[in-house]
Amino acid sequence: VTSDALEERLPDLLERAAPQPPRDLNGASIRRASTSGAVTRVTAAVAYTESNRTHRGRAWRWTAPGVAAMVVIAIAVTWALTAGHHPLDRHHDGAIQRPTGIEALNAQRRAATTAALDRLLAAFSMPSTWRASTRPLSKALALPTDDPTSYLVSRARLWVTTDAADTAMTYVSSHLPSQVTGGNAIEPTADFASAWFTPGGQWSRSTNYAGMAISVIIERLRPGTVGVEIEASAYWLPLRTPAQTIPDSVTGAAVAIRSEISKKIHHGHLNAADARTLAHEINQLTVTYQAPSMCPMPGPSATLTFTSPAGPQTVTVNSNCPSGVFVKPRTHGMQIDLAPGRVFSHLLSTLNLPANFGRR
Amino acid sequence: MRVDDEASFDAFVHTVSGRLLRAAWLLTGDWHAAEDLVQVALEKTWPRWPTLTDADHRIAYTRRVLTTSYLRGARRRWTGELATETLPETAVDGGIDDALISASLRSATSRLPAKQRACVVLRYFLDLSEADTASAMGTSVGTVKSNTARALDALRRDPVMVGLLEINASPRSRPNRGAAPIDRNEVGRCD
Repeated sequence: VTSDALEERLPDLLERAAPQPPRDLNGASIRRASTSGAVTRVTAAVAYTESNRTHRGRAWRWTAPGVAAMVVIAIAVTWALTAGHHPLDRHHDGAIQRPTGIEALNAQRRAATTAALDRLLAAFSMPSTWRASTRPLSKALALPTDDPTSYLVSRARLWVTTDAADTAMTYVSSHLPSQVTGGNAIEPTADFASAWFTPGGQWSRSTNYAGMAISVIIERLRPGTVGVEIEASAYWLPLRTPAQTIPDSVTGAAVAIRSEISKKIHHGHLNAADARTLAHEINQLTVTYQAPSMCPMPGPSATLTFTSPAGPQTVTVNSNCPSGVFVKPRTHGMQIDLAPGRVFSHLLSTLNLPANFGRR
Repeated sequence: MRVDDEASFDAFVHTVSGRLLRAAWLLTGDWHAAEDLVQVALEKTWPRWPTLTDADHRIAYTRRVLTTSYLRGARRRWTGELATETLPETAVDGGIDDALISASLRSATSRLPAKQRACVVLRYFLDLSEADTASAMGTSVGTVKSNTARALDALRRDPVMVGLLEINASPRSRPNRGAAPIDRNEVGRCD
């Protein structure tokens, strides 16, 4: 649909779409209502707004959601204390559901990563004239919301200052916590400044997380008011769950390898011994923080469907990634992005395909 | 207020309320909200009536109050309205074609942000210029242009609108197999 066609037809469509009013408005009654000085219809959304503003004031409109939230939290905490458990621990059938095994360890790793981010942000010291804020200041200066299914976690702190953006950035850059080194920055102006820093030393890596980064965004909100956001992010390193592990009892695997050059798909089948060997190699791969976008030039890809008494398990393998391994948990099976190397070479040789299959 | 003011205001209400009500319906998708919106706009116009001597100023002022009241109401997170499970059947003059257009446009425009929807209604239903639309919305001409362009872009990509334009390639044509399915839950939705 072209813009011209739409613009040409829109007036006619709107004219036909808007039905005729069910009744006429009466001028005299409108004058009377206007003269009485109040808009009192309870069904009017607009009137509700006017009424709210008139009788309760702006302060109440802003504080009411906060008061309501505190009441809800108080009720939840009271319920949890009297029940003796965390609310999330109780299953709908009344049984206590506590995370166990790998899930518990992964939850600990995620929590440890979040705590590390909080410690890092707490190490930033700002002037006393800067006012801390807990609510989003603009679209760009919003507190991050984590996807619980993602390995990436983010935390942020916000401030409001009267300094210009470039002045504020100069202060932040010269008051970094120890072991946080200078990174990249765009040319700051009085209205906007942005920079990225890489934490080193104690912040850079642990068994719980890796790939920590800090971004600083400073934006003028209105004349004389500038918002500052410092956001820290890191990938927490998960342990593989049973769903991400191929069982030793595999009886074979169906393979489909897609060539990046000819776009053709080569189908093959691995016997039990070959499938078990390949499964062992895949199980040894370490889950890392590398994002899938790190594979800008994918090579040949393969879809492996392992069969076992436990049921089929699908593994999608993308090769030609720069380095590392990234295992993404999927609802069914998992995806592996890996550098050209042993696993894919093994797969090609097992299927009697040339080592440069599917590569340019 | 003079007696002739009252008479002229009553005549003004009689003349403009029909068009404004239909515009308000396109904005809100609900007759109750539309009536309230127009009535509030007219009630706020009446105290200023003696100063609004020019007919163009009168309608421009009413349009501005209506639009800003709508945008202010749309900014609220919750309007106090509750969605009903059963949607009322709306009688539409003009038969199945207009009913289809009405439901489709209502569905497509309900997915637009309030400012974009206001731009579409003011520009293409009330046939206002960009300058008049900017005046009614209390914003700049540039904002009107950008909001209108974004709205048209969104409508152009909306599957309901694509289907609507396809089946109405010629005026008053009947729907055919190319019609995009209309989500009945969208009919009667009010933001």
